[in-house]
Amino acid sequence: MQGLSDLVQAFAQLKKQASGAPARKVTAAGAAVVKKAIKQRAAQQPTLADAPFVREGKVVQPGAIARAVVSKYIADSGAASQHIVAIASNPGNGHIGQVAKYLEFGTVKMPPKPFVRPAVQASAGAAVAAMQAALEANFKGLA
Amino acid sequence: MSVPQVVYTALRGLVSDRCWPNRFAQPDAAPVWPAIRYVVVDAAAEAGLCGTDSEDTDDVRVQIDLVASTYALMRTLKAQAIAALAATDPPCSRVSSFETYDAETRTHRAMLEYVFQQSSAL
Repeated sequence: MQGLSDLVQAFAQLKKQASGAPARKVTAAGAAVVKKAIKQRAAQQPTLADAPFVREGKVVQPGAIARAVVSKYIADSGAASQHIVAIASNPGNGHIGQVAKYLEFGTVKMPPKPFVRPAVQASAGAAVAAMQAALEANFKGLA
Repeated sequence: MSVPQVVYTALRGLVSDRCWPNRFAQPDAAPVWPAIRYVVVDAAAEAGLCGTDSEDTDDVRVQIDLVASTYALMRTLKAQAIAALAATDPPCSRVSSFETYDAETRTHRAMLEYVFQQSSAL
């Protein structure tokens, strides 16, 4: 490589090679760690583990919220790659997202029993480490 | 002073001491608003020179719920709480907030989330 124009071309080539599948693997690795941590915390919540949770006519069985935690790739996000971790909520699963929100943030009568925020906090370091490992594995040998 | 004590001390005067940890400790049948509830969401132990034995170096995330009977009162209380928490020791930073209406109690709630990064004072 000689000169600035060679360097600029090399970076442009690297950017092209880095987007797409390699970048998706990196964010997927981080998302997997966070998803697992949230699932574990949801399963450990006494409110969710012992008995069905009932509020405003919504019945959520133990384990249902943990099963509803998903990670999804977000296409066209503007970033090289983006994954989110969320609680999949739809009429079919009793709007579990709303129940999860009540548990996470509480209501006026019900104290919050957070499980998402502590899981994200506890797993942040491990998620970054997983992304770093995926970065090294998937970007090795790129120009 | 622990972080919960710091929060209580900063906010109690705004609601005539109706400021409680974890739950609103007043009868459901005859609640008095406005009132404040604070909950420690997470406390991350930060390893200092002496390890992680002391809670004084934990980074503590606190959820603060401000409840009032009208939207205007809730907004006023929210502004007062933010001002009161601007000068705590240890210092804290507001990381998120939302406002909602609670249909069950017919009240307006503002949720404020703060982080007290005591580890950065090391």
